Amino acid sequence: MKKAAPAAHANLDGVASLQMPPMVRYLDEDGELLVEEQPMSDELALAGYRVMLRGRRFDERSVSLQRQGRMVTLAPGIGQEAATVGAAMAIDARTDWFVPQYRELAGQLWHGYPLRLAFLWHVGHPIAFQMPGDLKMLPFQAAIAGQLPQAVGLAWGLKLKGDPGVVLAIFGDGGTSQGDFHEAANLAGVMKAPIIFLCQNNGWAISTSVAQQTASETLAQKAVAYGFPGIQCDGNDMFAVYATVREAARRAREGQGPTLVEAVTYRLGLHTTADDPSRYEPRELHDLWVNRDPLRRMQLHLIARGVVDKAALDRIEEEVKDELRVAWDEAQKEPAPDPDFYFGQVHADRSLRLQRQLERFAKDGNG
Amino acid sequence: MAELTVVEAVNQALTLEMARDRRVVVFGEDVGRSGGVFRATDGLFAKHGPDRVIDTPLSEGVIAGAAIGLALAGWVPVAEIQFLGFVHNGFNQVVDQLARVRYRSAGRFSAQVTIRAPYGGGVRAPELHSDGFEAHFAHAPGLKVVAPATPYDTKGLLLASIRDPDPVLFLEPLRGYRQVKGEVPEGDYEVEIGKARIAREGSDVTLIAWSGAVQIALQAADDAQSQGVSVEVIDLRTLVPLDAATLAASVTKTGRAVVLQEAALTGGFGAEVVATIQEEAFFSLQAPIRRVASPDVPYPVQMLEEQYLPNPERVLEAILATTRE
Amino acid sequence: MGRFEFRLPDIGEGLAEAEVAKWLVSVGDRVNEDQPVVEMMTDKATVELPSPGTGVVVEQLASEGDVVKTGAVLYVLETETQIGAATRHPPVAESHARAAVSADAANPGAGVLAPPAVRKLARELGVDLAGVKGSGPGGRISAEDVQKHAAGGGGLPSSTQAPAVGTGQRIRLRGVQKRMAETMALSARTIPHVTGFHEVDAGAFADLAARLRREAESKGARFPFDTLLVRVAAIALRRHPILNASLDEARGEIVMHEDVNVGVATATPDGLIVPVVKHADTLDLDRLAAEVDRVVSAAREGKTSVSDLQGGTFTISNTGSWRGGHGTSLIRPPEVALVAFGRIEDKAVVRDGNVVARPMMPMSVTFDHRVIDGEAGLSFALTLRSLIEDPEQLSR
Repeated sequence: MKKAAPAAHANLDGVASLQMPPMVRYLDEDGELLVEEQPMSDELALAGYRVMLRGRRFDERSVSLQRQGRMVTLAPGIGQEAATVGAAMAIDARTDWFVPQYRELAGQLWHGYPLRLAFLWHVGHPIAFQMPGDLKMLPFQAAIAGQLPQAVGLAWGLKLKGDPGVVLAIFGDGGTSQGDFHEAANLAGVMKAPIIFLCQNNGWAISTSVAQQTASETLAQKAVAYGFPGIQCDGNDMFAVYATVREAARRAREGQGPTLVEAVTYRLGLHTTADDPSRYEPRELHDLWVNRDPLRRMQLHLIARGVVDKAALDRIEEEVKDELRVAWDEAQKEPAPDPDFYFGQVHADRSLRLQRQLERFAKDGNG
Repeated sequence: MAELTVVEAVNQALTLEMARDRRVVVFGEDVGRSGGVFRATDGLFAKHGPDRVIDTPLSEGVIAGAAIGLALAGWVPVAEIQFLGFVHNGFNQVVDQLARVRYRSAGRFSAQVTIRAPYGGGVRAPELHSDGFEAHFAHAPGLKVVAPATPYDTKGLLLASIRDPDPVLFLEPLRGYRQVKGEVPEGDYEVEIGKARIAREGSDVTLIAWSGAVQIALQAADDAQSQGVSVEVIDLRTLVPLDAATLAASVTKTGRAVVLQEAALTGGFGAEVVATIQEEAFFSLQAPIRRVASPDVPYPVQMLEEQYLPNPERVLEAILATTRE
Repeated sequence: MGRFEFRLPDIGEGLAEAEVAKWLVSVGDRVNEDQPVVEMMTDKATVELPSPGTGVVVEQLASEGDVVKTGAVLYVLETETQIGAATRHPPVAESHARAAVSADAANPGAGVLAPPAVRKLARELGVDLAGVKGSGPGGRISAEDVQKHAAGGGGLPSSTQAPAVGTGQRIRLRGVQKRMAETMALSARTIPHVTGFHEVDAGAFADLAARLRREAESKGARFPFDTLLVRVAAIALRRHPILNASLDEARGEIVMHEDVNVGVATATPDGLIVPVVKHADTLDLDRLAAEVDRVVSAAREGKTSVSDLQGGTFTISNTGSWRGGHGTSLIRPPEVALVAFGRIEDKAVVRDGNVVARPMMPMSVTFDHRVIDGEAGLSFALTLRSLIEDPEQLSR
């Protein structure tokens, strides 16, 4: 039994500091393995690389199209491809749910979200939010951390049903300051919900640095207060993210409840196309992270392993470029949504009041 | 037929539906072992156990948000917010998330969720336990807002709400929980969402009210009758979607309208009712439409409550004034 | 595949304008798709705008340091590839047009105290509430008052009612027609009109119009005949500013307008409306043609926006297409003049002592004699005439 001590005599120094597990890493910045074995086959690694590249080139192309006036404001995920693809690879798209914020496109592509819809998302077409067929994915979420209470409810609901699925819910460093994150984490802990909270710590919430966001040493440690494990992994190392999330998914599936994974990465692009990071981002910091680019790292690794050579990488580039062109062409053929379509998605049945508004709307062009 | 209070009608509907539909789960603060602070969920925990009747953390945001997730997983969640005044902690989840599930996903997902919340004043509760915040939610496209006044309607509308494929905010009249009694059939029945009720027929003035204020309206109508003015009382029962047809038919007949709203005047739901009447029945109007509401003052603590809330005298005054115009 | 006009997109969120920070290529340079062409500075960010296609930059319409409005053409690309459309923006102005045009100009019975139900009853019984004496508080009119009035049992005779009630079909004045009735009545009631009649040789003018139309059509554009008439009026107004004025009766002042905004009287199924071509004196002919086409087409389709009905400083009326000849016209207050043109027809005229057939156009110049004297009016007409008979000065 512990001895009681009056507060005045308690030593509060160091109490805020937690003993956390070390950051999970597999590859160094030049793609060399830091451990004996990589956590996946070479074939799978190459497949992951290809999807990361697809995400990167999609984002670059989208920013260009936005600057030409052909796309709406958008938030690229450049630099964060390993964090989202690595995580998506660690769950099973057949049973598990992917719950995004809005900077996870590369990972969503792995999970089965089509490139054509990704383009439609950036032209502001509502069909992009529909999540085709039975794809286990929730729509993009603009409210920071707003998706997390829903993700917990979903995970809890799967567990109540005895469904084998788990939920991968992704958000950012800024999201950890939201009440929704804390309420969701708390309930997930209480319900032992099968969920992986993947926090992409990309250094910035628009212009707010992580140091201004929280006094916590790490974001991972916030899990401790809610009674489940939190762990950091190198978010620019596809292997590290994959292995960490795979372990978290195993725990969730076996009934051990949630895990918070902090993928330490960096936003190499803009917050959105309406943002200018040069106003607040130290150049040296940016350059430092350019050298930690997740794609470059995986390229070097794959070459060193003899999985690909320079020519094969070039070929993959060309193939990805073709895929993007085809998808953009297809996206442009999508008919514009008519009022009947979006009036029809408010309720299952249309109230008389809404029907009358639609009739007036369609006639006059206003409500 | 048994005579029940409103809260007993809520309990009966939940009991019936949990037995009928195995997908229904009831959760919220203190709804399980304690049976709810108003005993609305009394007996459910004993019958269905902790997997279907769940005490949650004190956390309105995640109660509303998790309801969405549970619905996506195939459950039919009925969440309780202990008092409507506290739902604002979860405002994002109700208004920006729950209300838009179908719309945001362009029809792929929907949320068959009912959020129950007692609301309204007149029972000498502490601060933020009595406010009439219905207008905040009536302004959120995608959310249906139901606000019955009687035990019969409470049961029938709650059953309809739980079965509705879209989210419903179900506002229960706190004042009527124990004070209003009425005949309630034992078995299963639904009252259609989106249909108002003529609570009392009349020919001179239409008086519109909902939830706890309906009792005040009926009292005022009685008082007016003794002064020779025949008042038709409409109990809206559903705020969204609003039954414009019933409003129009009544005002076309009477030519005069008074709207009674317990909440503070400005931006209240009564304004929507007034606007709808003038759109639908303008050329039948013999006089300006009057509103009776609480003043634009935050809901006061107990000693001021009676002065603050609309009472039958103030409503009568408005009825008589409109007949003089 | 042709010229592509690159317009400044809304690259921020609700951006109105941006400054050209730096051109990254020069006129004549070849650019590839996605290659940065220009660096723009907004209050949110400095961004490079890449080219939407491969081609040659043939024109830059702004210099470094210029502030460019969103939607304005920034540069022109001779392209080799098909370029897709920009994101759509809702046509804000158009969407409100119909309601605006059909809105009643004035509120009948304004100033009268009567509840809506009584107003409706009055309308059904054909009773003008202005002539009904209200028996209620403050003179408020009741249903009973209206019924009595309709039965001839009370109230004052209505000044605006027709003296004799016919038995034929009754068509209520409304919308455009009602506005026309009110404007014209005001005009006839208040303005001392003077009209001068002229015959103008329109041979060269008609040839020029035909040539410009062919040129426009070869470019896929349109060139309404009225374009040249608007241009003629605009140039003449610049030379005779007193005809481009208004009378402010209340203050007893003549207001000389800086802009030349020419209204084009247009017959529509609903009645006469006069959409206005703004800055008719400064637009180049292509733009003027496009603008005339736009406002007249919109008027005929009943889609005129409120802004297109406002700000007129002068009016032209061309009745040529339905064989109009000479005629007097009513000025649209507060304008002070207008010109009407009739159909061009061959007529026998004397040229160099010989009788020859010439295509002649009737022209009537009408002016407000309170503001414009006979000499000013005639002088204006002669300017119009010389511009029409020697039209080459118009196409410059």
